[in-house]
Amino acid sequence: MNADVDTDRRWLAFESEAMPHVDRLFRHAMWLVRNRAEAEDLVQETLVQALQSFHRFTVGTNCRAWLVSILHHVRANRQRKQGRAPIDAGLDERAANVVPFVPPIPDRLTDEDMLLALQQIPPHHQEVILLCDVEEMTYKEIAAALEVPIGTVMSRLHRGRELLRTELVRRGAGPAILAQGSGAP
Amino acid sequence: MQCRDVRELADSFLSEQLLVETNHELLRHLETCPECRSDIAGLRVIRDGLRAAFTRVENLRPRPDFAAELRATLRPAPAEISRRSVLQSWWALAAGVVLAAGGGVFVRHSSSRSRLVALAREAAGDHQNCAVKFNLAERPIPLEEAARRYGAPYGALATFMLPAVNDPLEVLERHSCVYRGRRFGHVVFRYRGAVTSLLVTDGTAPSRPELEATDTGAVVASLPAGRFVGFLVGSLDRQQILDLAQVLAEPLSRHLA
Repeated sequence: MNADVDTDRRWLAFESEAMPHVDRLFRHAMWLVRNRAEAEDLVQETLVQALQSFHRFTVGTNCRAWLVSILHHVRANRQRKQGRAPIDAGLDERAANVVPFVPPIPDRLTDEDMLLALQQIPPHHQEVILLCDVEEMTYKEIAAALEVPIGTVMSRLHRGRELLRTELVRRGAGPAILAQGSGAP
Repeated sequence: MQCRDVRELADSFLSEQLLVETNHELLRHLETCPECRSDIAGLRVIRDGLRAAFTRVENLRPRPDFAAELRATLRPAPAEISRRSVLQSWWALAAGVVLAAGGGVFVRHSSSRSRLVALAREAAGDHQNCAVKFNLAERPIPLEEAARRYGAPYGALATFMLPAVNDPLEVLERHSCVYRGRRFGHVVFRYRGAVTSLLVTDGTAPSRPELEATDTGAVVASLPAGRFVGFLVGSLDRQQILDLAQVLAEPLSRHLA
C-alpha cells in the first residue's frame, strides 16, 4: 500500500510542478527538431525521464530549467544513437569571432523577423540564446544542460547575440535606428 | 566603469547574472552615457522580441490535446495500481477476512481516495470555468468528435437521458472539454434554478455516490459511471446534490458500461 501511496503522491507532485510547462517544452522541442511528431516524442520522453527521476528534483527550484536540461540530454543522446555528428561548434565559433562590429538595431521587429533571423545563426548559438533569453535559465543551468563550461556559455551567448543582431539588420527588419556608439572612451 | 567595460558586461547584465555591486556600477554608468544606454536598450528589444515571438508563433504551439494525452500516458494506471494494492496490502487482506466473516466492513484504499479528491477538485474547476464562467483555455468539442478521438464513452454520454426527478431538469449543453489538461465529458443542466454539471472522466469511481470535499465553494459528489468516474457539481445544497447523484448513478453506469 505504501508504494502505491508514494506513487500517487509523486504523480500529484509531478503533475503540479512539471505538467504546467508542457506548452513551453513543446515550443522549445519544436524549435530544435522542426518536426511536430518528433517534438511530441521528445517532450514525452523528457517527461517520462523527469517522472522517473522526480525524487531528485528540489521543490522550489526552477522546474522548467530542470525539464529543459533533460530535454537537451534526451535529444543529444538521440543524435548520438542516430550517428549524427555532434555540432562542430569550433568552426562556427571561429566564424563568429570575426563579426566586425556591433550593428544598429532595427526598431520594429515582427515575430517572423525574430525567428527567421534566429534560424540563420549557428545552432549552438541558437541554443544558448534560447535557453538564456527565452527559457530564462542561468549560465550555470545552461552549462549543465549543454554539458559545456560556463565560459563557453558566455562566449556563445555574446557571439550569438551579435550574430542575431547582424542578421536582423541584414534582413532589413524595419528601419534601422540609432547608430550605436562604438567609440569607447 | 568605462564604455568598453559595459560592452563586456552587457550580456551578463541583461541576463541578470552580475554581482549586485557590479550591477550598480553599470547602472551608474548608464545614467550618464546615452550610447551605452541605447546599446543595452537594443539588446533588450531583441531579447524581449524573441521571448514574445516564441510564446506567440502558431507553428510552435502544441496541439490542444497534447497535454491531456501526455497526462493520460504518464499517469500511473488506476486499475493496475488497485490490483497491485489489493494483492500487496495487508489492510486489504484484513478487509477480505472481515468481509468473508460477514462483517461487511468496507476498507477504502487511501491512494484511490486521494486520487478521487484530486479529480473532484478538477471537476469543480471545470464546472466553474466551463459551465459558469466560460473561461476555459481550450474550446469544448462536441461529444461525437470526442468519441471519434478518445473513445466511445464520450459518444454514449451524448445519448444519455437524464432520469426523471421531482423537479424539471433542463439540459443546457453537452460537450467534451479540457480543464488543466484533463478531458471531461460534460453535460450541463439546470435543476431547481441552479446550473449543474455532470462530468465524466477517466478514473476509479467509488462504489456508490459520495460527497467530496473541495475548497472551491461548489458542492461535488462522485459517482460510479461504468468504467469511468462521474462527478455532479453545482451550487445546490449538499443533500440535493447527493440525492441527485444517487438517482443518476445506476442509469449512468449502465449507459456507459
